[in-house]
Amino acid sequence: MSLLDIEDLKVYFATRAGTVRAVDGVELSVGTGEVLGLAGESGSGKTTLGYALMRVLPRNAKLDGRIIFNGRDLLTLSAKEFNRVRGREIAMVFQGSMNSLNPVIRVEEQVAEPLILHGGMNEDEAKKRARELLAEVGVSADKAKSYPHELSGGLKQRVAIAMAISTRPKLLIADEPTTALDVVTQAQILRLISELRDRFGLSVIMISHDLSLLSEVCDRLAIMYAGKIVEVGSKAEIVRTPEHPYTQALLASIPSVERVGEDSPSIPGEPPDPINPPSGCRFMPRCAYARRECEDFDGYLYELSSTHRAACVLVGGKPIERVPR
Amino acid sequence: MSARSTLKKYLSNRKGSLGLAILVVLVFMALLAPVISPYKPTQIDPTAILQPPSAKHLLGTNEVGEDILSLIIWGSRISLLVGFLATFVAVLVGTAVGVVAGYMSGLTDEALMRTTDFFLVIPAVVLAIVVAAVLGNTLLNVILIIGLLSWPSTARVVRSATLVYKQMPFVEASKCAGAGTAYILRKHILPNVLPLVYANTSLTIANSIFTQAALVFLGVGDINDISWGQILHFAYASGAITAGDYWYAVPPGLMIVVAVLGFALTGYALDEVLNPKLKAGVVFESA
Amino acid sequence: MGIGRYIAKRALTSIITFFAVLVLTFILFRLLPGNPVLLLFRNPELTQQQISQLSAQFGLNKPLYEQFILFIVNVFRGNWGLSFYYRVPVTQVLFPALLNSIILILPSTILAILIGVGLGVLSGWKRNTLTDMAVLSSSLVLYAIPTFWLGILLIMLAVRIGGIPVSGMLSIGVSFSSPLQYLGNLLRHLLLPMITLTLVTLGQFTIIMRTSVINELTEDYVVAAYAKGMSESRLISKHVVPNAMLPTVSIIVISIGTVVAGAVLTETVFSWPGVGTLIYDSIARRDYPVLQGAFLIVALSVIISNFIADLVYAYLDPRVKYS
Repeated sequence: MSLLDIEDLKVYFATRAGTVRAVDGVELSVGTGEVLGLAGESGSGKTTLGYALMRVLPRNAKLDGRIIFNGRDLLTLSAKEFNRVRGREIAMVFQGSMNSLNPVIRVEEQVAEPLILHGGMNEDEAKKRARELLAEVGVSADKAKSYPHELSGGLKQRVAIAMAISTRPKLLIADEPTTALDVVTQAQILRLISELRDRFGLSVIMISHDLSLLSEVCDRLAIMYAGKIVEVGSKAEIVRTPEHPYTQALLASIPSVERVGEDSPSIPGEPPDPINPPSGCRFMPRCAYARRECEDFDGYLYELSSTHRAACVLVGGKPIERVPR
Repeated sequence: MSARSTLKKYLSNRKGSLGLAILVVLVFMALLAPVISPYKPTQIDPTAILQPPSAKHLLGTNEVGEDILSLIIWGSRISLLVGFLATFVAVLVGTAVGVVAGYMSGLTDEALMRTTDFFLVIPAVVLAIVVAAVLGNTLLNVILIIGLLSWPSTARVVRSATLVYKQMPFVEASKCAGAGTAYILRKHILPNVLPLVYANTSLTIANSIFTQAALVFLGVGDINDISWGQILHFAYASGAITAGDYWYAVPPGLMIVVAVLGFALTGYALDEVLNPKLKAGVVFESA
Repeated sequence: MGIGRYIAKRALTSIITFFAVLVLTFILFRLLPGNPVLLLFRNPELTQQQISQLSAQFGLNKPLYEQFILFIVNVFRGNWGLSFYYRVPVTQVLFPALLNSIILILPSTILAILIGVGLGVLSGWKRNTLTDMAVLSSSLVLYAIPTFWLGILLIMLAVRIGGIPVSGMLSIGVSFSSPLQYLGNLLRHLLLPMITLTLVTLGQFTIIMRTSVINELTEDYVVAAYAKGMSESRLISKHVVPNAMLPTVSIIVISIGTVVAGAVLTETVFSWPGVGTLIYDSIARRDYPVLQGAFLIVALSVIISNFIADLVYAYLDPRVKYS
């Protein structure tokens, strides 16, 4: 029984230009103590998906489908009921944590806040616990009383993580947690996340455009394109035997030490218009293997194994010659 | 953004349409004053002093028997004229100062900004009163004084915009191609900065109308020309206020309110249309 | 920069600004139509002795730069000249008026800030709802209303109702048997001017605070805070408002000048015996020394208030306090 089951989730935004279909029918699940990497280019809908799980979307967003978390469909909860889930059972660390900390409140107070809100502690208890949490993530006691602007990017990110896990949530959503950090700090943050999974059984959905980053720390990977999941599987399966052309192209575009001197292949073309996505397979215009069958394809995720699924006609149905056009 | 699409966007903005409608009405009132005014404003009728509104005088008469409605209509001319001309001066000086300060940086910038801050600190109305008292209260003086006291806000806006645009790649490219400062300012900086100035201009006009009315009311402005402030000045000075002659006191002030609102709404709408803020912000579910 | 340097920098700016004001005043009041000496002689109110005294004191026969130095020295010595009209030192006329102005301005400004900020937060929080539209429209209208016109309207209303004083600070010719009675009379006279000044000031404060709140609501930390699962009211009061207050304080600083201007107009309409009325009267009486002194006092008050507001800002913003 997985911790989180997303069923046919749709997130549409009503704008003056039309309805933007940011997430267009997503099926995904996350188990306990598992780190799932959600990869995709900007505009793929991965961040919107994360925000949808937290229900912190702008006013013009419409959600549809089911988000089953711990047996309950989150989308059926009232605003007040969900306030007790948000920040307590599901927490989020945002992209660019440099700005997700309140500039005029001391760091330890900000970490203490979820404990006061959900943990029933008073201010002193919460602050004490906050200092412990900060120490756990590597922020020393003397820094705990600082204001955000006094800390480095890496430290701020740690604070954001401490803030998110303070209530021992079951699920952490980390949106580009290491962007804008240097490689050393990046590695430290990733190590911290792994530790949290190992020690506390924390499940993580890590969102990033950087597939190589995700492959370092994630147990499973899901690839998203134009609002839909195109491939999902264990790390080994995705990295070693990717089946969807988009995944293959993503992996091929990662610069590698072994291919020094060669140009990294980039994917030609552009993602489809989210207001008017084409019928059929959305990756078709950019796919090297596109053929007539792709025009009728509805995005179904064919099973390659019990854990590995890919949404490509080359996988499901009759075996077809994998010959590029 | 083309002029046509901007206009369309502006008109779909409620504030803007209302503001513009008000302005159009006022400008027409001023231009057509000789035609729509029921009497000549200086026409005295000694038999009908301080009369309340009647069929003969829709807004009543003042203490020398002049028709107040006519005075109001004619008053729009000076009130609006001073607003426009003073703002013209202010925007001219302000844009020049702002562009130079923003582009030159360094000491020039510091010096110009200190001067700008100085004028923002000293209450403009007070300074205007004192200067007008000392230099004489002709119409020209009033226009110049208000203009020279209003340029700082334009300068600030222009300077911020210049600072942003001077760092843009196309300016760099232009410099590499050997363009001189004057050329860059004229071709690259100014056209991009001007849209931001429009909103500020509208607000400056609103302010100028207000300041002129204040100066005239206090007797340091040009009290010989008919303007709304001038009407109020005589309403107060003649004791009509304490006598409770509301028809004398209410209309001129109301006109000022309407005019200021018109320009302010237009200014805010222009700001929204021309300088869009990109972020939408989070929503609260209970809302 | 640390808070010490911040304060020092602001203090220096204030001093330079005041110096600039002195220069401006000197230029302004020497540009009098006609020779100031001649003007003095033309003034029938002064005795010959006083005129000679003035000429010597202000060195009106000396070259311009010497006059300027003399002027600066006199200002700092408290020697602000002799009133043409009252025939007493200008300072003697100014300071009681200053006190009266403060009695009017201080409570009005504080009230305007409290109400304005409160309404601004409400409006920004509930943006684009009916509440917001109502508050915004009323604030715009208040901003557009000329101070003196509002005063006039209130006077007419008061005259119709009766019982509320419409001019002056205290009832004339009345002797007060107790301090309480004195205070009561003062407050009754203060009512209308204070309502006027508060109303015209609060409109712009509301708009400023509303804009500030709306800007803060687009910041990243607001989403992050909301993601912690707190109620709207807590998000607004504990997270947004402390941040939104900061630019508001800065802008209120700039508005202090407008408040003073509003006060000048309010005082004139209600004949409240403050610096504003003094300015108005001295213009009518051509009492230039008093006009000059009043101008200096107004400028000085604004500069000092700005400086105090800068200090308050430094105290509130931890980014200034702890760097």
